[in-house]
Amino acid sequence: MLEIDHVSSGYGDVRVLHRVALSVEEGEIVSIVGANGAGKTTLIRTIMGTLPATAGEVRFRGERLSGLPPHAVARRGMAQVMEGRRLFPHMSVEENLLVGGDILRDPARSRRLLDWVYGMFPRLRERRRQLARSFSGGEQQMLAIGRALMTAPRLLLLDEPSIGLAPVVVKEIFARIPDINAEGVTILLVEQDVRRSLKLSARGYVIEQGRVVLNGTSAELLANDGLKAAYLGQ
Amino acid sequence: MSSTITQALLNGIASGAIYGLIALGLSLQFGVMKIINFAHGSFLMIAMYLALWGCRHLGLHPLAVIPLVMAALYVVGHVTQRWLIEPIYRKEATREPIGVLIFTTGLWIFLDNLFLVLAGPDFQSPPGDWPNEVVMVGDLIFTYPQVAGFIVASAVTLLLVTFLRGTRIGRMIRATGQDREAASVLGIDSAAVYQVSFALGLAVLGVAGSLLLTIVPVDPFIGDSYGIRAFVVVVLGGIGSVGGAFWGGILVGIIESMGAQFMPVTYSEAMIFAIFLGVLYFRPAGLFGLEEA
Ligand SMILES: Nc1ncnc2c1ncn2[C@@H]1O[C@H](COP(=O)(O)OP(=O)(O)OP(=O)(O)O)[C@@H](O)[C@H]1O
Ligand SMILES: [Mg+2]
Repeated sequence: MLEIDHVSSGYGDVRVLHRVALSVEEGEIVSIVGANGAGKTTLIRTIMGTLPATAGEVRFRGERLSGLPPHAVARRGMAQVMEGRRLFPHMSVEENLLVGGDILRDPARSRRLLDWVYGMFPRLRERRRQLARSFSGGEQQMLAIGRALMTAPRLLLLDEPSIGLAPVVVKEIFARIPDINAEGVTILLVEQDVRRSLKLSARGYVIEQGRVVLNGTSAELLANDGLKAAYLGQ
Repeated sequence: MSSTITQALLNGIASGAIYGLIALGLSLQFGVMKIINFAHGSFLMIAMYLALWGCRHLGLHPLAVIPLVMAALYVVGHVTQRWLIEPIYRKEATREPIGVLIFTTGLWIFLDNLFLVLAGPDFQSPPGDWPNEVVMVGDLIFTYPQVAGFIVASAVTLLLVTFLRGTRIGRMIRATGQDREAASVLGIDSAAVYQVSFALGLAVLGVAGSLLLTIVPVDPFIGDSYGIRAFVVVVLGGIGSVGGAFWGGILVGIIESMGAQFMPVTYSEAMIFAIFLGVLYFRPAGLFGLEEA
């Protein structure tokens, strides 16, 4: 479904990603793990088209995405939950969600998606008239995920959904990821919480300094001595 | 309250509503695109000349030209954004759009002088006596343009606010203004949103220019004073807040007309700018605390 074919990118003259190659099959949950500053967000932004790839190409559902702006990529069925949530602060919860549905130009379908999202995160329905910025971190993350799901994506890119959240809240949010996947949404999960994200996914890639240094099934990665030492504190 | 004071207060509210309307587009453009359009006053001047032309050469009533001027300014706005501002904005996407600021300043000087050549330096007004007709309410006297200006300006403000709050396009405009990247990954084309926002801002300015022409004559430099005033109004109302611009306009209108009761015009002018600076310093989010866009 998604192929990252030796992609490089960066900011100005600073190259951050070095010929990164990875792929995600339809229906999978795949993890990308790595430390602070490894280039995970840069990779997500390059996939989405927010940053141009300086070499290599991204293919999505058989189509080359090179040069497409992010809104065009989004309309092809990809959604990104941005690092730091990035909600619309002056909008209510429901309006934030409705913006996600706006590109579908189909109010009935938006309505159904809205019910689906509310069903998944009932707290959003309870507080749908409140301003998004009055929310706790966990509720904001639920809203950010819900908003991305409102675009009816085939592939969901999740950029560090656990960041800054208490463990119970992380647990609650991560519990929804398989549910979303079960509805036919393929998931690429970027995380620093290596153990939690690998437990959720079948496969994973480890990124260090802009390069894929390790990949395999989650069981293999969790058993890998180098990974254990570097990320799992064992 | 003596009737002189009441009259001054209501006069201030009437002209204030038009000041608010003039500032509305500027505030919308800033709120959504984070650019400062220094040519705003010049577009106001163009709107007034177009209205004048409609009255003189098409024989239209000063209020009947409004839809025409509005449509024309919408097109001007779209073209300006698409072909002049967007290319500069694109090149500077990664830093503050300083180029746009300099460009609109150049456009301001250029347009003022272009119209000096095209229309001459004279002050011009539409023909007809309509602007001098009055309605009396007890001791109070209002001219037709005052009444029409207040009603139309309030209605247009309300319409724009409703559009931004209640429609799909309005929501996409606000989303882009609040977080461009977050909106774009949800499939919203920010370039298209910018074109619509800039054009809408100028369409509203078209209405304001038509109304203003019924109150003051037009000359090539009329935009300078009213353009600067629009900046004051935007700051008082809260930069980027469309509803705030309306209240900011009313406030400036009241200060101006009440001030005239007690002090020379130069004083009230100085007072308006003192309040402007004070608000910038102490309450940069504006006086009314309304939400953006
Ligand atoms: N806008 C930017 N301009 C310049 N350099 C940047 C920018 N954003 C990130 N970088 C640099 O790119 C590198 C990779 O950053 P990136 O945000 O992709 O890392 P990350 O893996 O997502 O880290 P984290 O886990 O902290 O989110 C870092 O060295 C960072 O300093
Ligand atoms: Mg990151």
